Amino acid sequence: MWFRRILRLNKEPGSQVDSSSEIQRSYSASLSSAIFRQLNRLQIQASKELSGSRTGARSSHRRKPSTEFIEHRSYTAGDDIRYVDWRASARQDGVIIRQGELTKSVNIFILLDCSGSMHWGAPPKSVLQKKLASMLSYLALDYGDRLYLQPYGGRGNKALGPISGKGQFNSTARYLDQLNYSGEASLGQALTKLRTSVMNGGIVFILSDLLEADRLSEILGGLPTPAWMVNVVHLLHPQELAPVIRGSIELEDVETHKKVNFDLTARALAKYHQRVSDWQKRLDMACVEHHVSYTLVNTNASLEGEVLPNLRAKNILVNR
Amino acid sequence: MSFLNPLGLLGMISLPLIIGLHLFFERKQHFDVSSLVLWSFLDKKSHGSKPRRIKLSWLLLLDLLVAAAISLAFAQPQIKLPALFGQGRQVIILVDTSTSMLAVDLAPSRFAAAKADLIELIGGVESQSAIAVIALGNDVELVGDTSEISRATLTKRISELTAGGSGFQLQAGFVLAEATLEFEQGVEVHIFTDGAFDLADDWEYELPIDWHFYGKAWPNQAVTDLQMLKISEGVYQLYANILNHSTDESVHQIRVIEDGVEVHRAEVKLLPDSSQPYALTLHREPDYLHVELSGSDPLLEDNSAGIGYWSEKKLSVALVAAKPGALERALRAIPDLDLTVIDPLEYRDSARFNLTVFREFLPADWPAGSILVFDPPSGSDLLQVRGVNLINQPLEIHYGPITGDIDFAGVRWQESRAIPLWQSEFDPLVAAGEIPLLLQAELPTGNLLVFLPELTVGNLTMHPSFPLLISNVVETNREFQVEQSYLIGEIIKFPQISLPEGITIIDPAGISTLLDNKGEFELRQFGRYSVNSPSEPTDTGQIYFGVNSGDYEESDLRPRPWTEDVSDQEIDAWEDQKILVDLTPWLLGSVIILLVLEAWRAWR
Repeated sequence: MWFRRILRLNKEPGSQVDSSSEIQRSYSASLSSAIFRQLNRLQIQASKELSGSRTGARSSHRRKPSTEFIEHRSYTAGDDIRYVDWRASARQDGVIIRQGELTKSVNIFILLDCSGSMHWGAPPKSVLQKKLASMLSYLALDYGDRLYLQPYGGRGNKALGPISGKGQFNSTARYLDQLNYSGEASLGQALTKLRTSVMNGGIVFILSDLLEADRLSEILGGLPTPAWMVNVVHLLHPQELAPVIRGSIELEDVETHKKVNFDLTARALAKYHQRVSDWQKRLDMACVEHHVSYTLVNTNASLEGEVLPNLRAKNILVNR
Repeated sequence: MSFLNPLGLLGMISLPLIIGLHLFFERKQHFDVSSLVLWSFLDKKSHGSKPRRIKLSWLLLLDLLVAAAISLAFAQPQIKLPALFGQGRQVIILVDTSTSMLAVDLAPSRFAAAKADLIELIGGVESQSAIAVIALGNDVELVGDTSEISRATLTKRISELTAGGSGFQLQAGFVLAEATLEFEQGVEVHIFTDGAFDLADDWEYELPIDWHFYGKAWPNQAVTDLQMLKISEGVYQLYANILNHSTDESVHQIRVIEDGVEVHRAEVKLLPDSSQPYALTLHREPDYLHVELSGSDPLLEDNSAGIGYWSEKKLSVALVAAKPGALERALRAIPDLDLTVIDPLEYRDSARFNLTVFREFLPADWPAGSILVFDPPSGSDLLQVRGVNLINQPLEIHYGPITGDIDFAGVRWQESRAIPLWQSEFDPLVAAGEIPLLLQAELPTGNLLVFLPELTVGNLTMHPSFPLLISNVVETNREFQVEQSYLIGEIIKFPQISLPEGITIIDPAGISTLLDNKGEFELRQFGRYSVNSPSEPTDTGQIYFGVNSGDYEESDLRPRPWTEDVSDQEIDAWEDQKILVDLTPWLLGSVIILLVLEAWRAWR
């Protein structure tokens, strides 16, 4: 209405990009102590089929002569006689060697969508993305895994990793705080680059709004199981799920700055809801097709109250 | 539809401006979204840089309606609409109360038939309508208006109406009718008359008139224009006109009666459509004469007429002045005045005058009657004259019978004699600032006027205002005057200042009425009236006058030709009439409602 415009009464919450540096500083990747208490009891679920290095805390199918018993095998020349199970050998016809499990660490790649759309909303979607990345980093470093933080999109963002060891957590927090969100980003290119640079696979977390990933099924095909274990965390703002704008308006894409005029009627908004719902289903189906975990996260949701339980329910995070 | 102010429609230019503003503000409705991918399904016709269509939103619609309504309201549109059923109307009824309505060619008379129809008409008017009844005779009178009195009271007043009077003041009646109108719509005019009067050729009236005519073209004879003159000492002559409003010749007996005794009888032959003079010489002074014409026409009231007679007394004025000069000239120019010039040395307060004028002289005591003093001398006990005032300030005039029509412009006032403490005794009629010029006081014996400016200085005596002033003073001292005869319905008006107390008027029925202080008396009956006055114009203190109905126009009972023209006019029934409705207040009301709606939608 004309006097609403004059009085500037029509500001819709979350309708504008919150780009002031003041607000950016208030959104940090820091986690609360309550979160850490929960994280200390959790680990990132990893398949035993994943390849990894010989250090770490994760179990594997590989064996080694050990005093800790997992299974027996026949003695071969060169085996250390300290691992001979004499009692078992007495019951058997030959010499039996006692074998234990060979532990490992896995590669954990956190792909961070740093396109302009991730910095949209109030608070921006990037806030929860950073907290999620920080949380996963903590779990990875605490469990002795090798962590890779791979941003795609944005200006001047460089990858971090591999890093390991809990002592590196502070550096990941600082790193996340300095990420730049702007422009467009291509998940396909990011995954192609990951596949070509990493030969032995690992756990991949994609933290993105997936707005540019319309060919997700094709993209995910490049990271086949069991070498790769991919988790898609789909971050969407409530205003994207159910916008409250109405009437004749001009919409501007924060990434491309392309503008269009729409007459947003109730019917058009209903159609929008249907479209978003269909889109989510298509993404979910694409993930199922490639044995990829898909989790939709509302970026205004509480991390400890909603997001963590959701990830646990999906078996992405499990108890240690 | 018509517009009182068509320029107001220029406001319609604002409509495209409003549409432009809407388009402009719609472009400013800007929202950032994370990606347009999710919105790509929407109608592409509304996209981007293509020409934008105007979307008819509620807001735009309300804005356009408000602007259009305001523009139309400025143009002040008016529209003719059918008068809605049940809507109140204003019924104006003019009823002819002239003497011709007393004709009995309709039983019981034209006026009685008109009154019956009028009351029936009022009974048929719906209760929400307003009715005003105006009586038209030789005067215009509002009988009643239902906005002020009940219908029962109005009906009662109509029943009590009497006819008698000369003339039909139609134009004046319409002026009064328009004054009673609350608004100019839904007005219905009914006129009840016999049409026995001439209508001006250029007469016109915008509102539709429903004429109700009574009576036919009956012949009538009448006695009119009675006059009695004193020819010489002991010889008197009676004059009259005998009218014959008929296309046939007729013969009648005429009788002259004095105090019930026939003093003369004659036969008169009346030519068709004639006015025939009649004269009779009398050899003694009559008090009252009655003239009768035989016949059987429908209006017998005008077949007889009466007239009173008495010898008028002149106003006696004494001028007491050593140098009468201009004063004497001014007084002698006034007719019917018996002037006596007296030298101050020979003045004795024994003779009685209606008015005594003193100049440069004052007696020991005020004489009886009215007194006018010029140049009052000092040293008198009656007026304390001390010194002289210079007149150098503008005049302040208290307008009344003496000063009302006098223009003192051009008079060179110079000096005025001073009377200390004059305020306590006198009323100033003319003053120059604080200096009184003409003072008036009431004495037990009469009225006292003191003129203070020096007559010998300045130019007052050469100015036209001087004889006027003298004449006014004299005329206000005359006794009241009564005509020899009047027409029925006339009102006698006596000058208030000369009205003596205790005048009673006795009508033909013998009812005596004491004249009130307004000095007005309406003559409602035919026949002989008498006046009793304490200041004896006659020796007996009683005079007579006649009230007659005979009048050249009024005695002609035949409807005039114009009545046939207006009878052909057809007046629409009330339900079929169209009224002009001013839409301006409705439009302004709509604007307020639309603005409230817009505000409600905005804040919601």
